[in-house]
Amino acid sequence: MDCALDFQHKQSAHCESGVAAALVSHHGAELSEAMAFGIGGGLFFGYFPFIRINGLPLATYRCATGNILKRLTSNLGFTLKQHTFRKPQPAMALLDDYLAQGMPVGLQTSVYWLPYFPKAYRFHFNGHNLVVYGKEGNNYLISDPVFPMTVTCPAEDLVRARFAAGALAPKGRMYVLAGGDAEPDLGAGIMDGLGVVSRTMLKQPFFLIGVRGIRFLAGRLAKWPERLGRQRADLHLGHLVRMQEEIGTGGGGFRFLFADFLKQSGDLLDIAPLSASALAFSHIGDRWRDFAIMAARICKGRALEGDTYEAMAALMMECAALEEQAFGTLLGLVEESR
Amino acid sequence: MADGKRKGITEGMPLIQYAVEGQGPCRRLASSETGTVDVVNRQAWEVIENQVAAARARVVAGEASVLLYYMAANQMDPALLAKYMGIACWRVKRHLKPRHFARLPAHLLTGYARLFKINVDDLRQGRFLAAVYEKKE
Repeated sequence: MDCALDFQHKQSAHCESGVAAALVSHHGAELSEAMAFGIGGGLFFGYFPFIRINGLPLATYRCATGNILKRLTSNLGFTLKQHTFRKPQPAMALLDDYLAQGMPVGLQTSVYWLPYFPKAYRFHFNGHNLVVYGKEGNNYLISDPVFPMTVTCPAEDLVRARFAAGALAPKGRMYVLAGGDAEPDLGAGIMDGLGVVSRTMLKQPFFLIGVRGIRFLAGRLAKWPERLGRQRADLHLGHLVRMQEEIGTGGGGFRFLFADFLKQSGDLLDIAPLSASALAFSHIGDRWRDFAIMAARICKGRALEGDTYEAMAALMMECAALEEQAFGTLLGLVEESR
Repeated sequence: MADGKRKGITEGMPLIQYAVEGQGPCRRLASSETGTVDVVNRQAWEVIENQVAAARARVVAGEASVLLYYMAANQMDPALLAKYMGIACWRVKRHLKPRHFARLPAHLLTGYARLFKINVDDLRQGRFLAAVYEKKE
């Protein structure tokens, strides 16, 4: 079976919001990546030292995989049909089936087994999202949002990527969009996304989440050198920067992406304070990036004068304070709009 | 890895990054601008390379089977490898010992070989071949 659906590929910063935006756009409601990220309530902060990735603690700047898609589709009135499988054969059969029906299919995969990824990214990370839009012989045609062009992947490798083992194992997870309105009510969706994000960042009682989580991590980070020794501390730090800046974040731990969402929403709904918040968030993103750059100097062993763990903790505390203020403003706007 | 050093981790591929610049916040970032990410990515790979080198040394010294090398080269631990193989973790740990590995039945050898994309013969002869991600189609 050979087929290639008419699917608009668009490079994005982040895989899940890129896939979400592309699928929603394919169904008639043109949507940018930043809008998908914001309406899906993608921004987050959580530090979970009890979850280890390659033996290093997990810090995340975005919500759990799958949640952006869920929230976005429910906010815009689409139905998200999801499937998981125990065996590869039915999973691949259903994929072919959907393609034959003319539906592009979203997949959750591991990046380790995808041959088209550059070597540097081939880690066992199972939360990657992509869209399959066709098949040619034994190769699947893939719109992978982090790549500039569409790519292809042999069926055997795609099977492995879909049935990767380990943390966040995808279990062949696939999804298609159904139903939906070509002109959904973006305003309500934007407010819902904003409300969810600002409430989690400010009002979450758990001390590892939101602004409290950032402050907690800053406190921990200051003590890393004495607790872990210099070498382990540098590894922890490098890991943190990777979570914040590496592929799929748009930089600054998603804060720039969120700023873009605020700007677009402000223009769309004609709410000036939203556009002002966009500037606040791009400023916050800059501070996060300053943190990353200082951390990279330390990891590289080229620390300048004043590059210390205490200085980085102070920078992070500043980020926390700035975010507390900015999310406070957003929460006020959301409550006003009710 | 040495040849890839100058090109940056994306191997020349442009990525989308967001930064506020005048009116449109979105712009493309050339791979050479990703210096920060290069440093921390390199750091993560160094850890893996050290683990692979240590595993290789143990195999050469006869302290472990060649499986230890392939496990490290493919960034796995016994628990993950066991999941991929569909067997218990303690069995993988046993297979890491040379004398158990030498008596491994054919179906398990085939399973390991297929997972690491090598031949059964490579495993039997104890050849050190590249990890899955080093192979170019």
